[in-house]
Amino acid sequence: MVLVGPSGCAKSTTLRMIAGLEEAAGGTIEIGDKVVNDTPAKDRGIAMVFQNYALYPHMTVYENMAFGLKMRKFPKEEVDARVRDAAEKLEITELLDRKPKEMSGGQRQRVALGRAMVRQPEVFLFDEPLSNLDAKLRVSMRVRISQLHKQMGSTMIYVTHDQTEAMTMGDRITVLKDGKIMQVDTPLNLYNRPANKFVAGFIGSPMMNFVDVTVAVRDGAAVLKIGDNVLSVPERLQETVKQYAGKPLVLGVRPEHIKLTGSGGEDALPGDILVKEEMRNEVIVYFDYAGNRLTARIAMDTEEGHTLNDSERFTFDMSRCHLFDTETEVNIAL
Amino acid sequence: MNKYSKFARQHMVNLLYLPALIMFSIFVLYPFVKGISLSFTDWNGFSQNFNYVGFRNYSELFQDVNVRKAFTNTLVYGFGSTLLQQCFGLGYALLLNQSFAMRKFARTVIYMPVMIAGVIMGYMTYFLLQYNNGTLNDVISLFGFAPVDWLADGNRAVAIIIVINSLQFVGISMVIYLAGLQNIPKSFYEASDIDGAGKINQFFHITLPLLKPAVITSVTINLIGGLKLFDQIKALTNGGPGYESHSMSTLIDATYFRSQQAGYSAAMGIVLFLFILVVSLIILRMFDKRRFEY
Repeated sequence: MVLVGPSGCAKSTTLRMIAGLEEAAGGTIEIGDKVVNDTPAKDRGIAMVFQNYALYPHMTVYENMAFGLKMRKFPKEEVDARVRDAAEKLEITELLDRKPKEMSGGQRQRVALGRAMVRQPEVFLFDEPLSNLDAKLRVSMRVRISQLHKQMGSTMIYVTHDQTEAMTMGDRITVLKDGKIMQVDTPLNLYNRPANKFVAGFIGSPMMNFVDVTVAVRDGAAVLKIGDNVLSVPERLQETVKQYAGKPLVLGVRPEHIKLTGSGGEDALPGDILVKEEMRNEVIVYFDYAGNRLTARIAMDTEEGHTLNDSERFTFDMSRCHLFDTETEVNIAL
Repeated sequence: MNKYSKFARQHMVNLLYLPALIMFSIFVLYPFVKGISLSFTDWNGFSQNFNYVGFRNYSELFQDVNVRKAFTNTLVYGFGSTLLQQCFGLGYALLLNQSFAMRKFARTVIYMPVMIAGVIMGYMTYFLLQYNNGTLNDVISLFGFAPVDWLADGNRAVAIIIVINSLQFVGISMVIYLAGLQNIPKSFYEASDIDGAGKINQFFHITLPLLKPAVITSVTINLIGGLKLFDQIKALTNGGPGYESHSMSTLIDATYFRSQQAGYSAAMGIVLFLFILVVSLIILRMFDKRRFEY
């Protein structure tokens, strides 16, 4: 389970409440079938990996990893076996005699992970554990944590503000905003079926485009009007959208659902291209249309060269679009 | 930066520390060198005439019973005060590291005696403990006890001086430890909470090891202060009864001004200086700071 959301959305606070480091003002926290609101952190069967690693600076790697077991009075032989086993899995055996200050960020992170692993807890809690690492190391640690998850089979709750981490690591993701749950779902569902405008905008990079539209009924069918352009509404949404006749809605379009078109139809939106970012097999196009700054992800082989003019016409793939109520911001297109 | 401005800059730096160097030379270096020179004479402190006596002062002071007593007392003052100040300083710091009402007030009250001159502290204690009209005797007489001459017993006088010195300067240790405690990241305690360490284990496995840099600083300052103790003794007992509570510092003073043996007292001063120097070096070596920097 990944908790994701912008800064200040209470994802770390939620994790800390699960850990027993913060008191919950209300409600119950259950681990397994047991309510743990009044259970001290040490008895909750959890292990936590902190953002700043929180390795004890005066102890060696071995002592850091063994500390939790020693406090729980495990026999020396078992402590040693568990520490060496975890160290081997994390490839840090040669670091066991070092102190934290003698290691790199990535090595410290692995030690922090090892310290959690030796405890063999029911639940692992990760509080933005990769945010202090560089991009390359972050990717390799992401893979390592995912592998560990598969090997150990324990529950892992992972807090991050990085949606890529959330999307690649989470079996399920909880999107939070201002202390409220916006949506709990699988990564793909969050992307394809966002419950509201916040989730739609938060998940996905580049982010979803939002355009203010007005609903009209023409020849008995609901259409969306933006300036001089008219967009058709998919058949499955006709009845829902008709209820908004004459009212505004917010149209949400993913960048990859915007295409170039040569037609001059009323659904072809003229855009002035502001910036083009050329990738290997696609171009990210930032363009201006009727006062809206939109982003399109156009598939094209950039090695062969592309011929984008300063102004182009774009169409939206309306079958993949989302419509949000302007007041509640709920996705009415689900 | 061109060659000229680099040269000018270096000279400007020299000029800036020159006043301090002059003051240091006049008030520290010259008296120190003069003291070494005096320690080889029989100067009485005021006469125009004196003779060089070689190492006689040094050989005499090692056989002097009063010097031996004062030296022992100096050790007791130094290590006794240091021990008490570490215990209470750390205790206060641990207490004041918690949040409670009047915390700032309590911190000020504990630190306030540091700002009082040692002599004043000594006299205040004297008025508290004196045999006739002493506050403590007045209080115990209310409960029917006979008045006690608190400072008449040498060992008791030494103990009282240690307590008074510790009470006065415990604020320094408290501030050092408080700063040390506030430098320990909260996440270490949270991690150890989850690791299953209780408060006592946290104190011995997390707090104390991470306070080592603060311990080094506090012990060094307190020990040097304790070994040089003068003001409180001078005001409270003036070394008495007899020579029972003299420290080396007060004995140097008494030997110079009362016994008029300036050369002999200079030799004591040099020995005390060397002793404190050696003790400080040993402490700094024992607690090599680099070993505890994280």
